[in-house]
Amino acid sequence: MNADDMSASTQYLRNQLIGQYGLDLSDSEIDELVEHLLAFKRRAETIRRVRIEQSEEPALKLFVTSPGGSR
Amino acid sequence: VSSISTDSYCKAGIDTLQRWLTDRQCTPLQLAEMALEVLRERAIPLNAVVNLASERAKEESLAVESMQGRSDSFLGSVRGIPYGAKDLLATDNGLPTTWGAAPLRNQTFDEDATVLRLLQQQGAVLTAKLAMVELAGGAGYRQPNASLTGPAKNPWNTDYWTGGSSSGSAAAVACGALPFALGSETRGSILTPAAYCGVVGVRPTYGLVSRHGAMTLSWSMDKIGPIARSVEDCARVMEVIGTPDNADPASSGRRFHYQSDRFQGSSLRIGVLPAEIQDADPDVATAVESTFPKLSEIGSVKELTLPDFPYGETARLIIASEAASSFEDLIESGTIRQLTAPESRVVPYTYGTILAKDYIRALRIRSAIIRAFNEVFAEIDVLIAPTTGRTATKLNEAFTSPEGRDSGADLNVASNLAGFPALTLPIGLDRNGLPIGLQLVAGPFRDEYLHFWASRLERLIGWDALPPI
Repeated sequence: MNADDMSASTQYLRNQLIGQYGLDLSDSEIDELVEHLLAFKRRAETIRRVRIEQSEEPALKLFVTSPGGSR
Repeated sequence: VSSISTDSYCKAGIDTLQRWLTDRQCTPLQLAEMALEVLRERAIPLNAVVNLASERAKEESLAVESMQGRSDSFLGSVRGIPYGAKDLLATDNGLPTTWGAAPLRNQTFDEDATVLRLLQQQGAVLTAKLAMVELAGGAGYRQPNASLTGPAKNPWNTDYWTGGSSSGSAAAVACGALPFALGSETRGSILTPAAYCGVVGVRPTYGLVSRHGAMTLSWSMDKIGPIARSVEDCARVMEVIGTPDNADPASSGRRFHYQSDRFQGSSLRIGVLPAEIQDADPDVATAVESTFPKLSEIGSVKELTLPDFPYGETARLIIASEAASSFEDLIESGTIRQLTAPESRVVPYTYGTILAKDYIRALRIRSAIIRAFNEVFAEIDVLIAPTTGRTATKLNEAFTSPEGRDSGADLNVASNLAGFPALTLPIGLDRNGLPIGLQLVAGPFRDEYLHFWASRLERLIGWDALPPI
């Protein structure tokens, strides 16, 4: 992302936060937010590169043998 | 009046305390009062305590005393033993449960968390709600001062941090105020502070210990476990809390039942991870390598490489996605704007930007990770690596970038994702006098087996130093 794109994205984000939460963040807070947004974006890009079988199901509740455990 | 000195109390494990109670060298109430005194003198100055539970401790210890006539022996139980709980475990009767967060300092609940109820039923005495990183780190902190009670100070050197998020649980046990405490772990929050503070920490298999009544950070990754000064003491606590609970939908229905002679004569296949040792600081690597001769005494040792997955990224996407929902009220209401760490007042707003397809992909990758781990554990019984690649950070030291915390300690993150049990043992000190931890991971529901071999290793290593308090 170049500097102009970054600036536009930051302004968009600032407006979104004001619109959605009534939040007017300081410049340093916006910087922090942008850094974390970019980090999540990179994480998502990383996991999209992992090859998984089409049939692979999500592991949500691990090791649950019966709903609510032993009854 | 008890003749037991404060110094003796601070060094005593559960077995010793039980012997004092059984021999009537002290009463449960005297023990609770001693715990409260040491909490005031040592743990509060470390920022390890949110609230003392003085009234409750008195009531619970007197209730134990009134039962004493039915059975004079305290041996083999937690009856009359004082303990503390990370302040994300709900307590009834007006004692606040703050989740370590300043805006929730007056939050109360109508019932105890299941684990506290189980301990109360067995006669353990709750003496304190212990400090933690606000929202268990779920708001994305980047430095130690991210708690209602301030940065928790390491008993080994108060210029250093305890680690988090179960900061107070590790510090209170390490400084001798309590023989055991409960913590919780989503991604390293028991093992890291236990290692930084030189005590034993246990992260049970996902679903073995009920989370009912605990703050939720991530439904699919949260676990609760004990911190104590020995493996046997952790096992004693696990006996009480490792039990099915219909109130936790993730409860596996399994029970932890520890018989230390059950695994006598069994063999042990150990896998060590050279890559994690090479990535560690030299002092940590040297300390871990110094345990290898001991490992060879108890089993066969094989070098392994962890299956290749982006563990850190996968874990962070799952935790943040679930936190966007579990903390939705705190985010939408603006409550997070009152958190202590400046970064934590904004980071949670990013969680809602994670796409559903990426969250689901992360969960699908986790399925592949579990399968790969099961293949690893078909060849070995226990995986070993440094608990953390580095010892405690300085109190005023910021962490690295968000990505920086994705890397390192892969075994910890990977086994958290897989839900496999883990335990950290203190094995020595670095050149600054700060503790180093050795991490042991076993297959799912092999928690008793893990405790057995960790206890054997603990005795062989023989490291039982106490902080210079």
